[in-house]
Amino acid sequence: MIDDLRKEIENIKEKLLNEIDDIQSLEEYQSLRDKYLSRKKGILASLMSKLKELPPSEKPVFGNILNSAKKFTEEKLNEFEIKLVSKSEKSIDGTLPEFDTIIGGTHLITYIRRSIENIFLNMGYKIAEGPEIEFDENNFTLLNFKEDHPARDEQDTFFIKDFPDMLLRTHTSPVQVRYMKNTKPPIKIISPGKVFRKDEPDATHVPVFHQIEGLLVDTDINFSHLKGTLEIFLRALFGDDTSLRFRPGYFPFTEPSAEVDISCFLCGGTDNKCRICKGSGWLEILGSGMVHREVLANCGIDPDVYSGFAFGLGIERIAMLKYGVTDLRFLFENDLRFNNQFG
Amino acid sequence: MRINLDYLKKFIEYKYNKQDLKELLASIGIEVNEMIEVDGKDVFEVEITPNRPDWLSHYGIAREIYAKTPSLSLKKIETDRKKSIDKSDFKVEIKDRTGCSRYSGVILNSVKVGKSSPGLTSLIESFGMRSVNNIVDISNLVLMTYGHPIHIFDIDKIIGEKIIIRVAEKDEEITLLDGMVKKLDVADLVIADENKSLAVAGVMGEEHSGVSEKTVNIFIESAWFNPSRVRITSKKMGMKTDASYLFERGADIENTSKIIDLTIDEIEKELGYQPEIIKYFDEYPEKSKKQIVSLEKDFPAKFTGIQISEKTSTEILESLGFKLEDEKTKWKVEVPSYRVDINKHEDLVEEIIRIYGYDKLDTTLPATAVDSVEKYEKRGFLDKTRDHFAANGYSEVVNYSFHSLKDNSFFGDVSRNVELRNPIGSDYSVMRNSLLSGILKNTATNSNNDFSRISLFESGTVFFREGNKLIEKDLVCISSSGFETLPNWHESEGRVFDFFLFKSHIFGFLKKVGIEIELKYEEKFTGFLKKESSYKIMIDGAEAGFIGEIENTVLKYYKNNEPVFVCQLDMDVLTEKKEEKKFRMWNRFPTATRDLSFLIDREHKFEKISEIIEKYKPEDLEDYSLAGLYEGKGVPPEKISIFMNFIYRNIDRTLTNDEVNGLHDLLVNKLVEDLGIIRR
Repeated sequence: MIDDLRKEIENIKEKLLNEIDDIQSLEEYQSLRDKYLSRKKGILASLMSKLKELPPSEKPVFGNILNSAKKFTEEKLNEFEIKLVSKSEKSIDGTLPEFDTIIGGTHLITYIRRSIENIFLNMGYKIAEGPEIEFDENNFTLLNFKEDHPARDEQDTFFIKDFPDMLLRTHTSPVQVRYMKNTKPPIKIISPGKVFRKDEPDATHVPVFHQIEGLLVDTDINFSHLKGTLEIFLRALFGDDTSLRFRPGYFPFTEPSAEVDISCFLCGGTDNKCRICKGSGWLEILGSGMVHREVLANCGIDPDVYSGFAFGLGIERIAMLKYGVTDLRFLFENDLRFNNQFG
Repeated sequence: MRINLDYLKKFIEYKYNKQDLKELLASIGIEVNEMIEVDGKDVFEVEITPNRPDWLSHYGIAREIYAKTPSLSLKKIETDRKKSIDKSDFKVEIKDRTGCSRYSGVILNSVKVGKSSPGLTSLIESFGMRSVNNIVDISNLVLMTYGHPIHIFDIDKIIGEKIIIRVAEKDEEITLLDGMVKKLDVADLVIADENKSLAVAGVMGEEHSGVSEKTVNIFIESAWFNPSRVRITSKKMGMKTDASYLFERGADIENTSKIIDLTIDEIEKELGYQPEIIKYFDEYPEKSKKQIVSLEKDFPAKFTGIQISEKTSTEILESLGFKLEDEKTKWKVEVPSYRVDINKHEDLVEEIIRIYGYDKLDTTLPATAVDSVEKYEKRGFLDKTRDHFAANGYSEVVNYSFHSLKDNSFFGDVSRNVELRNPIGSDYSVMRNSLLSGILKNTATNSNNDFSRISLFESGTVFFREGNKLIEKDLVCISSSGFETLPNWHESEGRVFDFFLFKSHIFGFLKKVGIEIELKYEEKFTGFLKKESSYKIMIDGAEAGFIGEIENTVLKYYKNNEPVFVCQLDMDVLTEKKEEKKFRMWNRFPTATRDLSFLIDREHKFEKISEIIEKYKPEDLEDYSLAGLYEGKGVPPEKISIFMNFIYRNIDRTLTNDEVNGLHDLLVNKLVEDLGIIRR
């Protein structure tokens, strides 16, 4: 009895394969599927009725045969269904042009600021911020700008009407002053932000621009630490093969002070007509130095116990050097033909 | 300042080519801005930092080249004139000793004023100056050579027998060499005879007492004037001269008398004969103290991070003219009188490494670790806001923080304006009180450039006056004008912004970051928002900004033709109200949906419907939404037809049909009772 059934099942399988071959449409496919697999009327379901006619010892054997036949049928039908559906899909021309979906972006200034912030956040610096309208004291006096320092001239600084001791900060150094006044060393911060100088807008001057300054104060901080820190930073920003040149400079709030140049990443000093270095091979990139002892003392930090270094750079200058922006005014005109190129 | 390289060689016989010299100068802090040729001679245009007046001369530069390369020899400047000549009763009297601490001079007779020799003329021109006559040119030559300004008077124009250094009288007037008439006051220091002022000390001489072609006898002045006094006067008069530039940075007080001798040398050389010396003067009432700085021997290593031998340190300092006295663990360092910038040990370390070479110092990293972590709530949120809008088609803009008065008058109370005392122009005379003006200008600019999809945002600070205080607020302003999606071959219609699409962009973002907001109609914005769409954004009872469509007058003022939708958000309020998201289990039971279609009086805003639903909301009403609006045919003109969906679900079990119907009917009845809706 079991052998007859086994044979019958083999016949059913063979018949299924033949019938699948003749199918043309999804409807035909669905009725074929029902014919074999319908739980009530399907061919395989009807074979289940034979089960009770078998002796108990053969029941499990037949059960297995039947299950594997069911599995076989399902697999064949599923395979065929995928083929059938794929055949019915319309082909498209994927080479038709795309259309703009997203055209926005962050501003180049934001983009540069964030890349610099990220470098310093990775190095364990904190970000400190402060107001854009500052006290004269924080912007100049405490930073060792003497009463009659040229940078205090009206031509450089915007003053606030009716508030004789207030001005628009000319650099983000007052943020460092505020931070030092309120924090015991170690101090390890960068201060990004808008700054203001009284310049008529032209290709290389704008009255509002952006700076990032850094400050580290601790015991035993020396000039070699400043050099090491700036080397890591500038190589991260301009590439691992960037060389640095430190030149003596002058700022009222640092002593010694250093101007820092990087090797020209465009021509490396080989092109006499180089757009950015003009053949010198060097690009002036930032100002730095050891924090002046008067500045530390002014902010309540004992300069005989602590020392520190500071540096500052302009974001707009990076925009010109690294991104090739030829006129600073483009950064503030907000012509989308400019803004949408970045971010 | 200009350096004539040939002339420089008179003081130090260097062999560098000009490129190497430029590099050498840069390495010690003297930046060569330009290398030019004048009359076939190489000339450097150098930038001198304000702390180094001792560099403002050829000899000063030569001194620095010598320090860097002591194998060269630096010409010694010596004179051996006898100062005992006294053939006149003429006197010098200093009445203001803080203003003028030393005054040296000489009277020379029989000086032939005339055209300068070709050599002197060419030298003066190479300095970028104009040759005037031999005597004036020599005063410029002395300045450019030794870095000390001198002034020469025609002594026959001086009335009386005395030169007086005094403060000016109130409202005293002086006609200067350049013909300008200036009013002086008691803070200004003048050089005067017994009758009137002859010069504004350290700034400029008077018209008549200067050297002219007719001059025969001269008085040469070489003095030291107080830097801040010169600065205050020169700044007030708006007169910057080569002399004031040097005096206000600090001249060498010990050098004034020697300068007189060197000037006589140059005059004799130029004239080819010796004019008669009548009398020397040197009023120096209180000799200036020597500057002594103590330097611990281990300090240079501590401050630079590298070991520099004691020998190197002392050699460098000595080559720069410092005198060192060894005191076991430290040096007592005497600072040369021309180095007005040195007064502490850090200054000396700077000198050592400047000459040693910044490039020879190590590059190491500080071990400084900071033991806390900042959360940067506001910064983080601002960045998230920027990224969200940037990724959704909005372009970030950055505008100046200045407005015109007119700009501010649109967007806020002008009595709270923060005004600039010295703006660059009337368009930029006040600090902005809104980000809208910038955004509206930018929208117009881009619209003119044929952009038809202009979605912008700016993050920035606005400024207000509050009594005696100045307030800064961090805002984000978002705007849309024109298309959201441009028409294209695939979707020919595109999608144009209207209030609701714009609102959905804003609300969608805020919801995503965990901020629930509600709108309240608000009159106070109607100065710049259309009456029909002027809404205050409220978060948890706090005002957080506004949203709406720009009103027509303002729109036109900023030259826009298309509607602009705007939203300005206060980042402080948003940051404060933002909530950290927590996981919430979703409901696993099936939902039951009920539709409701009704007519309602137009006067009722949708917020009224929400209000009633919220008021009577059964616990099992999970959500409700607006599914459609209809007005027009079949709907009375005073009414509007609304179609809504209500979703019911219980958290613990499946609701029966009857239960859902019961809840829904109760709610609908409330809408009927309170708002008079008519079911359809």
